[in-house]
Amino acid sequence: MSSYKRVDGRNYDELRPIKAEVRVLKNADGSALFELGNTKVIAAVYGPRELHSKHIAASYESLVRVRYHMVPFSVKERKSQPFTRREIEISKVIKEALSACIRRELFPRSTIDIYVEVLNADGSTRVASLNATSLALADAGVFMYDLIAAVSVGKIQGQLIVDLNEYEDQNSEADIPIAFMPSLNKVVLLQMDGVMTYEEMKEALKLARNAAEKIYQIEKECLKSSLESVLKVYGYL
Amino acid sequence: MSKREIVIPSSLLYSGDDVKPSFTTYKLGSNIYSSVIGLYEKSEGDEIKVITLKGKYYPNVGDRVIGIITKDSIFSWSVDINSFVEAILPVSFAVKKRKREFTGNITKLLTINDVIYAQIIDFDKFNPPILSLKKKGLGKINSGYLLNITPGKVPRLIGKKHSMIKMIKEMLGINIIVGKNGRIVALTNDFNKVKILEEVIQKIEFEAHVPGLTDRIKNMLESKLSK
Repeated sequence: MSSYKRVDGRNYDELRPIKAEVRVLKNADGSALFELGNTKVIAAVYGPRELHSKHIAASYESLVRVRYHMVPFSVKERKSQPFTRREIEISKVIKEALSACIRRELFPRSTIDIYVEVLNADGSTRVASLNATSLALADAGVFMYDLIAAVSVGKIQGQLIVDLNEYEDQNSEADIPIAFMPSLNKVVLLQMDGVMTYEEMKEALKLARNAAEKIYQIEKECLKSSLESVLKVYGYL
Repeated sequence: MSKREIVIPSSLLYSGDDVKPSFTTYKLGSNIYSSVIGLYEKSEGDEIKVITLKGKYYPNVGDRVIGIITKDSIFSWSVDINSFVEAILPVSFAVKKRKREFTGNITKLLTINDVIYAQIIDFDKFNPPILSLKKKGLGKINSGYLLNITPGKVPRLIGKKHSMIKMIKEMLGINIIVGKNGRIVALTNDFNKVKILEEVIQKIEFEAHVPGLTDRIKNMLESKLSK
């Protein structure tokens, strides 16, 4: 099993190189750039702030609004600007995953607006978007239960693999994007496309949990180093 | 001084039932976790707190804030207080006279874009913050320069027993109003002094949690003023 080599030379349980950075946009309350191999996603968070369409406000909690969008140059053939059905669906699943991790009850009648732009798409964009938004939310000082670590697992030629790229995504027999709140041991997103046996599914979830743990460590390091860099200058840390 | 550590959401801060979680932390079972990115310092009190380094102002009853009028209606104004929700200033809390005696157009008292120094007298989960101008020292601010700081760093700008803000006021020779919501008004027409104050605020913003800040601000002001 471990000798299986993938199209880009990775092992079956190997993630692509990850780069995470926060405070990339000055005008947003919080922002983050997350790269998963060639997949590059930027997320911006505004809020919690006053909601101006008062009739859609929730009386006891804050509203989370997510706009997931792929820029026209993010794919090989130009993608048209307007929202596609796929983008609307992904906006919805990201919103639902984030709603579980934000302490919304602290900000009644307000809104948290999240904008996600996929700059370059090479598979697993929804999980990269979730990782980017979770970093951006923490950077904005939004009160959360935990960070989100999301990863995709799939099956190609009967072999389970972690972190699918575009080629693997298109040629896979099954594809599962999954998002965890690792410290609380909770799953906030689980989707599946394709067919898997019960045993394969169990194995896939195990692989996803291990990969998510690695992503979680990178996210934690990224947030801590963003503060340390400021505090170290003055010999504080 | 004990060492502060950087914490992120879900960092475990304390295990045990003898302490309470504060606003910036939450409790699961008998463990207390951080829910925000910030600095955690172990303290003797019975509440576990994290110092937030970013984020919006959260209204508290009794806080004095600087607000900007955004909307006027028949008997109240909506006020932007740099928070996630707009505050309300009812006419009855804005005029010294009783409401029924006030018969004029309320825009003659306060209008959109006016800056006020007000106190939050009521706020809970179900109602927006209610402001009042009735106490001494509160009211409309007619002139000055409006500056900003992260709300979490306001206590550092004020200092222990107002030491920091007192020193800045004395050295610059100007009057400064500091709102708990991270807004500051410099009551002066001397633009050079406002520029120095802006640099001081930037330094506090950047080094708010580094020990020995008051001395460094003092040195900075001395060198700036001697030029």
